[in-house]
Amino acid sequence: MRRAAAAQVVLALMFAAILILVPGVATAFDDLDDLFGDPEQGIVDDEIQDEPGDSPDDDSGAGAATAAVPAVVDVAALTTSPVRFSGTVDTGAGFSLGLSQWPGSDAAEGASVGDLLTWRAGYDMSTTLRVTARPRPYLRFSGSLTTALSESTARFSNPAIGELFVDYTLGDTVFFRVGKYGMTWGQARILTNIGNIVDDVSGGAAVRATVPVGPGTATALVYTRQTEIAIHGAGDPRSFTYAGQYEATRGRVSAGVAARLRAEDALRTTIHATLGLGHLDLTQEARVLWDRQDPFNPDTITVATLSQFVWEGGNPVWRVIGEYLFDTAIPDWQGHRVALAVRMPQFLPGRWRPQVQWQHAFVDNSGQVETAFTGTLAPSLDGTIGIPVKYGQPDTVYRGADTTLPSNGVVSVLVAARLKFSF
Amino acid sequence: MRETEIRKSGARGARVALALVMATMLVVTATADTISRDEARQILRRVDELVTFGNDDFSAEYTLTQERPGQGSSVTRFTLFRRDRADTYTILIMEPAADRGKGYLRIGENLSLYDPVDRRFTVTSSRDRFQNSNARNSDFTRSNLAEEYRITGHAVERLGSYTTDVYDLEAVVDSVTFPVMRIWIDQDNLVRKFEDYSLSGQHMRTTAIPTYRRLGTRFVPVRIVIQDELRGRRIDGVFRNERTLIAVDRPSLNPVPDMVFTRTFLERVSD
Repeated sequence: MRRAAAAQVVLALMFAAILILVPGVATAFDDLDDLFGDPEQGIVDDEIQDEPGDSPDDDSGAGAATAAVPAVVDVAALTTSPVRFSGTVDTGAGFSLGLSQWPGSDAAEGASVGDLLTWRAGYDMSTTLRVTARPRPYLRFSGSLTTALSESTARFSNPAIGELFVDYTLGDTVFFRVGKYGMTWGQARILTNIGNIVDDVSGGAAVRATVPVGPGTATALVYTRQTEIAIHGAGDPRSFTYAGQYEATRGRVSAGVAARLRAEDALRTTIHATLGLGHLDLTQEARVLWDRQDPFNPDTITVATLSQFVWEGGNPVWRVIGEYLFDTAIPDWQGHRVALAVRMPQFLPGRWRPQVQWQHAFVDNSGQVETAFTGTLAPSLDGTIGIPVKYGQPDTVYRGADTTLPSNGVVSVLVAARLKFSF
Repeated sequence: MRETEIRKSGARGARVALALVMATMLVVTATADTISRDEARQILRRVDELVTFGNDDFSAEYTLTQERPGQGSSVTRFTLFRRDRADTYTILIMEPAADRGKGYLRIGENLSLYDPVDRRFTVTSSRDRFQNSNARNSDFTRSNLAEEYRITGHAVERLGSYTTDVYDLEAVVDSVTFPVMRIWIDQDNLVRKFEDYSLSGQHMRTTAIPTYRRLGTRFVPVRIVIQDELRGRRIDGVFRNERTLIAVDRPSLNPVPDMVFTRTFLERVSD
């Protein structure tokens, strides 16, 4: 017994000594300091890879079949690739339970809670298939087909071309994109993106040229849509929309200007600047609509401004976004809207993330508060529990005339699961 | 009686061994040397210069593995192009498939993020986490310790097989991610480990760099482990920290075309 006890002690001491003195063996991932046990791994020299050299059939007599060169990132390989097919599947299902009107309100017209309580189940599915080819470093073709399941007919829509474009890069400097595609300008993240003066580009065909200029990037865009072609005829210069943008960054400031010209439409100009202050980004953006017949008449000028702050900080990270929008197009200086969004860390069990977003329109004192919890149920499968609440009178900015759940009721609980993956 | 003696003797021996090991491994000298501002700058500048690529461009492929105890791990692969003389870098996300085509372009103190879904650039000065990992966007910029920090304390410590100078640093500018740091520098002037602290003294992260690759007269950290000191999960009664493992392949100081450091390039190579 004594011998056994002594042996146990010796064994324990040996084990402890091994743990302490040879940490890299037993506790490689318990303590970061254990990573420094092997001085041979401290510095390694240039990595050399064999590059195919003269082939054995080569009768030049050059000798070595391989040449040693350092392994490096191949920039050309990023811009050259064979035909590649990829796709995205996005499908979701869920149900909501909520009230179509607030009980006791005029809109409820005396209906009881039971009468106002409705539930609804829903599902959706969309699929996008894409083909991309980069036969030369300066050439790229990309096209996508999209189909979506119609909830009302339970049938998939006819596949439609989502994008179809060709990229051509001239002299590694001027980048052209020609075809049908989308793009987004503007700074707003919650409220109306007033700076996105080319939001309808995806509805037609476009030619875009982008080139680095000084500390920034200049873009020229010409596009046409069926609407303008129907009015002016194909090929008429008036059936095209002309737009340009310049954005630059210097120090903590990023700024840009843009303009859009279209026949029989107001000239649209925008200007924006973003100032970075550590964890805080402050943005100011303005959009001005000029009447082309009487551009300098104050009565014909419409101005919309967006003020925005984005704060990200803390550990774990919180993100808070605030926006204020003022649009003189709303009469009597009533075009004020505010929004606040808070994205919290994934601190709930199962790494569920709470998010809250509030929007309010002063013109009719309507608004909405959306609280949502999102989390991952399984690989590629996300879950959402949402509680959207709307206030204000029916048929206002945030409450449409339609009171169908889940988007247009006054309050509901939405539970949904979404499967989304790429291949 | 005899068993008790053996136990006592064994316990005493373990304590002595532990004390010796601790004495050897942890603290050789722990004097708070007085280091002038100029000396401090020289020390930190030597450190910066070894991992800064002044007139060269830098490119490499990164594999970032985010380990969340009890929840598995996720892998992000990206390609980094860095041009320190212009204070700019470009990052292209290659994996996972859902993020493929996203890109980052840093110019000065601003970061442009490209989202291929919306085909939109968003500008931010954020030093937020990189791709929801424990790495920060600032982890991929040039080392600028000499201009951003001053030394407030010094000691000599043993770090595994290395004898290291340990410096306590305090930020002298507001633009840094962490206002207080402690760094372990080996005899080759390479940072082997650093700890990041908040202004209140909260220990936020520990980063270990066990392996560098030599590229001429410069060095690239090719194996990095970042441990989040606040996030993790208790498993079997033991708290396991979240960790990010970064492996760097194909590091090079070969010239990179100018167009790589433009927004146009992000659009061009994205899906």
